[in-house]
Amino acid sequence: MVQWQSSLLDTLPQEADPYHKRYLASQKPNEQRFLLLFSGPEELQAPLQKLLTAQLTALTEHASGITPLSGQSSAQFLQVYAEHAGYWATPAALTLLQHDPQQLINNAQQRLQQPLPVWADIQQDPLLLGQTYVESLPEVFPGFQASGPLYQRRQGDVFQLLLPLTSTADALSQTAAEQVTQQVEQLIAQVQQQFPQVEVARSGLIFHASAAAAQAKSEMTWFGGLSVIVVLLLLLWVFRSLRQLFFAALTLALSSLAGITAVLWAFPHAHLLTLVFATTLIGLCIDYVFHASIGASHGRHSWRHVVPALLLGACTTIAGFLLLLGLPLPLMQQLGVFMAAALAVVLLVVLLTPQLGLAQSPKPQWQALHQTLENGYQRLSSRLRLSLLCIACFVPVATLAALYDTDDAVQQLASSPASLLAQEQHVRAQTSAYYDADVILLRGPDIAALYPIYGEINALLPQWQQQGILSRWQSWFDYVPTPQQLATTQAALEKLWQQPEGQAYLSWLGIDAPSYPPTSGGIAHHPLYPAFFNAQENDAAAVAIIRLADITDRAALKQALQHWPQAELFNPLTQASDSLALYRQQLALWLLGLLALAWLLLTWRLPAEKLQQRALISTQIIVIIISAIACAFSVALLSQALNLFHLIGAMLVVVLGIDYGVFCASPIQRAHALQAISISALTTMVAFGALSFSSTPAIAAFGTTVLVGVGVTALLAPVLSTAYFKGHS
Amino acid sequence: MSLYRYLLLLSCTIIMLGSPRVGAQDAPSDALKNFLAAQQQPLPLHVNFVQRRSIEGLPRPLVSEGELTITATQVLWHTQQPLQQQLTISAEGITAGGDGTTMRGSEVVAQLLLAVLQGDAEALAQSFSYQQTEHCLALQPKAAQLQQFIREITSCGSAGIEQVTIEETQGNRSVITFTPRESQADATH
Repeated sequence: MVQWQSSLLDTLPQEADPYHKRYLASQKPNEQRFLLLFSGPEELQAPLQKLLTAQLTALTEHASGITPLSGQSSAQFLQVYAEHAGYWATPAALTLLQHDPQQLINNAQQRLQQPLPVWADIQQDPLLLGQTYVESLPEVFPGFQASGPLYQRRQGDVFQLLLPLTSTADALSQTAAEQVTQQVEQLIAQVQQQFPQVEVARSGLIFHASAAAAQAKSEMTWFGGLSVIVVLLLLLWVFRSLRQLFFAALTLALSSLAGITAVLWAFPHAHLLTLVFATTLIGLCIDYVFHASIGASHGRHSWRHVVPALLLGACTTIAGFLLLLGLPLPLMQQLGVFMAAALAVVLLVVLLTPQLGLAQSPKPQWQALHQTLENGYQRLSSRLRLSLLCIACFVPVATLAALYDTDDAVQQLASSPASLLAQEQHVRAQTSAYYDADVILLRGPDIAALYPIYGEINALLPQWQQQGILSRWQSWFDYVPTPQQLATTQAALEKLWQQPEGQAYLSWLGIDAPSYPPTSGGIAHHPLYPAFFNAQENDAAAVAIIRLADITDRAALKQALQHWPQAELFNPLTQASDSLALYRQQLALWLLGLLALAWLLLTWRLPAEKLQQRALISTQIIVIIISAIACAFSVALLSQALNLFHLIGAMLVVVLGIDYGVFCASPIQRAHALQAISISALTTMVAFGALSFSSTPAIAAFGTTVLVGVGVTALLAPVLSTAYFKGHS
Repeated sequence: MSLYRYLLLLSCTIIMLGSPRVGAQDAPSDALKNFLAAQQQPLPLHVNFVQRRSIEGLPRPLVSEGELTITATQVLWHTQQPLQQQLTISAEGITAGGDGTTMRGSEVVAQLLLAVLQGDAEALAQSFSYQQTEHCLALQPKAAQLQQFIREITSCGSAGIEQVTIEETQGNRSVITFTPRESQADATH
């Protein structure tokens, strides 16, 4: 059974902090919750509530893992407080217990007179501290009243119904996000069909992830469709048949199959993003097919020169992709294996071009055009060519150095529709229930070690709030007492039952003083426990968190946390951005390594007699590639700072640049080589370059780099001078 | 004073942890409407009450007594013995004491209560399943959230208020007996 991974979590570097990975993998931060806010005229509230309750049942029965957010009146929630009734007291009750216990007794007596249910064991909790504790817990949605799975409130003649949901689906996984949103949209459609006056607002990362995926898919379909038409027309015009396209498609299918097989064989899990990165194979595959096809069409003599060029270009590229195995990034390693295996198959297939009868010469006008081009390039002297290459390299590199800027923020990679952003802001403003992605992360060998530190930090939160360091927080100790509070409460209670007022109250009730043995029920089954703590058996990596909102002085908070080596200010979005930055840096290193490797291999294997000659040609090829990348990055920087996806585009530019260089440096007639290079570059630029118009920044980054980079490479490759070994021309 | 009004007052005060609007919205039967109509009395209404509350774990019931006043806009639950205490129920919610702070989650309950005092049988039918006899009405909450706390409320009386029994899920039981206050009784006569 093939197991595909689709979450960004699986792409994290292998040496990533295990505590961070534990938190990211197991916590359910705000991002996995999502809210629907229904607003409408008052008279529709009851029928809408009925419809939502019925639809919710169907929604939760679906396999997409959607469940209503557990409220504070759920049986499981109250059971925890019932088990600890008499042990837990709110800070206010504890103060009264220590300084004015008679007031606390009066409160309890009054409470017993009220016609309200008593759900705690009164023998264990004569002061009803447990019930008071539950009633003073922070509200999940301030201003809204719980009503089953829904929360409701009225504002004048308008009602608002809030439906908080959670999903076990990874919001960063496109497949899972789409499944969840599909189900939710069905519910919304039902509501809007029956109650057109009711307005619906959506909130939650899962909606944005799904919208971004849909937008990207739509653009890929739109741009992909257009570019396919243009490529088809181009191939029809050049070859007068689509046979080359079918040959390229067949080669691509076979090589992709080989690539996937190799990845599944070499890795326990394959990541879907590997396939996204591996789209660069399309460009390379087309390039090899056209070189082989056109080369074979010019006769045996030409084919004899094409084969070594194909072998040198492909082997250099394969060796380069195998270099990816040295990076500590699982995604890059999978990409390396995929591309190496796939390119090997491409090479094997295209070497059979003459035997398969797939040699196809371009139409005479195409040949004549390239002969004219070559004649033009031939007018340039060798010295002038070298000078031209130097200028073509220096100017873009200098421009790039001046403009250079990077931004790896994960938020930059996708864009949400304006209407969805407006809904998000509306819900956030109405509910005040959100926290930022920032958390205070505590790390340790087990929860027991973290618990007292958590209590110490929790005690300082109000102080930090007063100092203006942060605005709000959500802590485990908002829901249960700290160990210190627990001990103080027990001591104060034991003291009270020895005092006259305590004994008088017990006498009024007619019961004995309670004893306080250790409680049988732990707190680990508190419904909110997993939201704050996580530890796995057989793994000495436990984490605990405090959620934060509106940090106003990040530096001060970091400094304050330095007192505890186990604590840090952590933001998963920052961490994801850091991971992207790491991928970008590693990919940049790999590209440099690939260029160095290519220079060495070309210097070793290029068909020139002297080493110096081969080195000079290799250097020219590398200069052309550097120039193309610098141009592409400079143009891309006009619209956005550089990120990982520019580097992925650069990957295709480099490998195509090596091929174009190898063919221009080979003894093949330059005009013949240019015929294939042009068709390869044009199809690649159309197919990938169209993506530069995408509204998704990541896709646009890739498209722009390929469009400009491949274009510049194709223009500069014929400038390459082989005058030093004319004997081979 | 209508026995049924007391019943609703008590039940609505009890269900402060959840909204009675959750659940099927069955239309009230004619019999229920007639029962409510028969209990309708002019406002303001003043009655005395005695509450005998048996709580699991206590050897004897806790007894409290006081007065209840229902007007068109609010209900005052005034306990006089053994401790003074006053609850105010209005459209804004339920407040205990004089600080004006509304008890958490009480708005919907208070709104429902006022609807009941105006003879809104639909709100009652929405929140409870009921069995009706000649002089008694037994109500079981429909919402699971309320079922955690209240098993059944039984109200008995003929032309006026007599007795309401609240049985909690935990085994606690409150029996509340109502008697017209002298001024009200005089007005009725």
